[in-house]
Formats: sequence, structure tokens, C-alpha cells
Amino acid sequence: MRVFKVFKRSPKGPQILGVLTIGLAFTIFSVFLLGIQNFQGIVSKWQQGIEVLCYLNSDLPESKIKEILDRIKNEPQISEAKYLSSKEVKQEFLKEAGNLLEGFENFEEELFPNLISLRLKRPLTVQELKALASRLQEIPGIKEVQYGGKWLERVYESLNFLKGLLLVGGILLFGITLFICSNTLKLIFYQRKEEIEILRLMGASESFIRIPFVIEGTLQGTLGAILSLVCSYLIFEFLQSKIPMWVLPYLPELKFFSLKTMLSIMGLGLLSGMIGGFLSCVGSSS
Amino acid sequence: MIQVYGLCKTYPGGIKALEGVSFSVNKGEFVFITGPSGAGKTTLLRLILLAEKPDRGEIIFEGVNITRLNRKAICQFRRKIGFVFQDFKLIPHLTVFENVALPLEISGYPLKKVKKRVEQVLMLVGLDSKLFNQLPPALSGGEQQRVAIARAIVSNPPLIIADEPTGNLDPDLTVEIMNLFDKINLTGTTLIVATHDRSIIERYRKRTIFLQKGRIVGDESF
Repeated sequence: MRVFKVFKRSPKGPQILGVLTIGLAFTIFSVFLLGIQNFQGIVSKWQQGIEVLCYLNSDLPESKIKEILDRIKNEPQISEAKYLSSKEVKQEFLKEAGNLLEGFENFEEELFPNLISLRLKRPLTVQELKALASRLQEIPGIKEVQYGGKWLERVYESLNFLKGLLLVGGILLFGITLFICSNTLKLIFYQRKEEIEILRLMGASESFIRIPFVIEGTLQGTLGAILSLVCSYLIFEFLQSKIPMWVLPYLPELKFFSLKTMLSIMGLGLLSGMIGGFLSCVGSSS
Repeated sequence: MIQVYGLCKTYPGGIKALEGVSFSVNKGEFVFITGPSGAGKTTLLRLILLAEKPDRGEIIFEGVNITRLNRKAICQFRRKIGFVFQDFKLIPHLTVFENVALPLEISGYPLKKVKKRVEQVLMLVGLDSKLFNQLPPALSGGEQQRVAIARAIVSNPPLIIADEPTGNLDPDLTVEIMNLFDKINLTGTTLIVATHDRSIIERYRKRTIFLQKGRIVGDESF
């Protein structure tokens, strides 16, 4: 009861300032996290779209094509293998090229290869893709396997570098957030140093002195984290409304935090507030 | 009740606040400690309260050397002492009632009895019940000092220490507050009051210890 009385009557200015500062620090962290989460979504969508093409020797009998298909389907990483005859490839090619290739409809079908188009079960690393390609290449009847080669390798390297950068940045930002939270609370509670001294002179135990500060810190941390979630949501909605229409088909569905992530952020706010509240009294022991 | 032996305290910079101070106070006694500013009055009281540690010397309270207590025992010891300061040392965001109830809460006094005891003590120091739910900044200096005295006596401590308790009060209020201390002393509580106000010492004619430059230069009983 005393704890809540103290919290209720404590000067409101520093309490609000504490919640706002923690809220700001957590908003920066949350927006960053949101960025990573959606960036990963974009990368995953792009990776899932990777198509491996196996060009076949010409004039393969149907039985041989069936045999190749069966062997390909035995690969555990492949979810779908689809045979396209040179006629189908031509049709597909003309369809995708649209008006650009008007007049080329009379191209001989033989100019187009027979191929098997593969879809992957999950996004593969470059090494896995290379290994898969060389295994497929060994199947008799397959002339060439294409998966993007060097270009894909470079894109993957860039993506991995970016991911690493984001991870380091995220850890740093989280550390800074914790630091800001505990120091804000420490500064606020430092103003109440005299109150702590009075309690000590009256013979109050350390737990009697600390508990209200720890609870106050916990409440401020939690409220700050909730505030940051509200701010992050507003920022997310604003940015989403600013995405040009033509980019939308290339993006996966952009998502805000799941309930689990939101609870985790609130938990982090609670924890940092608790630590800040506890640390605020440690330095003033007499 | 309390014996002080060869107490020495030097602050950083070589400032000697106390040098070999020794005296004893009996149970139920009322003692003034006086001297000019910087004589060491406040330091002496802070050492007795264990708010600071002496460089040398011992303080024996009820037969226990309190200069060697551990943290837990210091808490227990402080609960036996009431304190009153010139600047009242009230917690500004707690009401008068809550300020006075604090020592009882700290010592684990039964919650059901707290209300009755606090009201009883606030009446004893002459505070109007309308003020019980006020915050200290809304009270006058005299009222705030009464609250501080009520807080000091609420848990019936055997010893009360007061450092310049009338320093911020006008002469009429000074007399009222000193009369209150006198009344408390009559109940058997030991009082050590530091003051530089000679008029109080002459008016109340209690035992007086004179300090000068950190040393005892006189100890008079009337």
C-alpha cells in the first residue's frame, strides 16, 4: 500500500519525463526491430522465388524425361519439378515478353530448349544451391543447370553482410536503450536522495527503502515500453501508406509485431525499469 | 544510557570536527549541547545517530558499542532513536499522518494500531486534526516542527536527538517547541538537544555541554 501511495504522490514531472525518455529509447529500438523483421520477410520472399532451371538435351524420349523428373523429385530440397517442352517454353517466353517481341511468333520452336523448372522447399544458401546444381548436372540428359550463379552469390553475400550489420546494430541499440532507461531512472531517483537518507536515519531496512523505487521503476519501464509500441505502430502505418503502388507487388505483406514480440518488448521495458529502479538506490548506501 | 569515549572526527582537507570528546548521559536526562558555529555539535549528533563513522573513539548505548555494529544492527539501533532537525526532514510527498506513521511501519508495528497511535501523538504535539491529511509544504514552520517531533516520539524511543530544532522558528514558537520537549522528557525519554541559542539554555536550565573547536570546554548541571 505504501508503495502505491508513494508512487501516486511522487512528483509527476520526473515520472512523466522518465516514461517519455524510456518510451523514446524503446521506440527507436522497436522501429529498428520492425525494420529487420520486415526486411527478413522481403529477403525470404525473394529467396523463395528463386527458380532453378535444368536445360535438357534435345530429342530426349518421354521415358527418359520421366526418369529425370523422378530423380529430381528425390532431392529433398525440391518441392516442385515441372517439365516444359520447347513449345511451352516458347509460349511462356512470348507471354512474358508481351508486345516487345511482336512479329517473333513465327520463331521455330526448336530454337527454344526443353527444360525442367524447379521450386525449392525453403530458401537455400549459395553453397547448398551450388551443391544441388552440381548433383543435378550429373544426371544424364541434363545439359545445363542455371540458378543465377555469380550474380546470386554476390547478392547473397551482400544480404548476409547487411544481416550481420543489422544484428550488431540491434544489439548495440538494445544496450543503449537499457543504459538510457537505467540512467534516466537513476537521475530521477537521485533527486529523492534526501528521502532515502531520512528513511535510513529512521532505521529502515534496505528492502523497505528499495522496494518502492524498484516498483516505480518497473511501472515506468512498462509504461514506456507500451508507449513505444503505440508510437511504433503509428510510424509503421505512416510509412506503409507512403510506399509507392508499383513497389507493392515486390514486397511481402508488411507485418507489425506479433503479440509475442509485443509482450517481449513490454517485458524488456519492465526489466530495464526494474534494474534502473534497483540501481538508483545502490549508489546511495550509507 | 549513553557513554561517549574519546570521539575524534576529521573531515577531508584536515578539518578537525571533534577531538577526544568524552561524556555520558543518564537515562531520562535532558542535555543541551552548545557552542559556536563549527564547534562540532552537528557532527557529534550525526556520530551518535551513526550517520557518520568516527575516526577514533567509542559510543556505548545501553551497554553496546554502537560504533562496531553491522548494517542490520545499525537499522535496529536507529529505531530506538528519534531525531528532530532544524530543516524538519519531512518527506514532502507524504501527508502529515503518513510521515508520522513511517517509524511505526519501519519497525513493523501492527497496522491496526498505527492509526490510533499516530492520531494520539499528533494530538499530543498540538496539531489540529484538519492538518493530518495535509502535505508538509502546506504547513507553517512551527507546524512542520511539531510533525517532526511527533514522528520522533511515535515509536516511544528511549532517546531523542534534536539538532537546532528551533533554528527556523520565531521566539514564541521556540518556547512552544521547547515546552513540548520538556513535556516529552517528563515521560522519561532522554533528550540531547544541540543549540547555539543561549536564551533557551538560560530559560530551561538543564545540563549543558559546551563545545568549542571540537573539544568539550565545559559541562554544567543546574
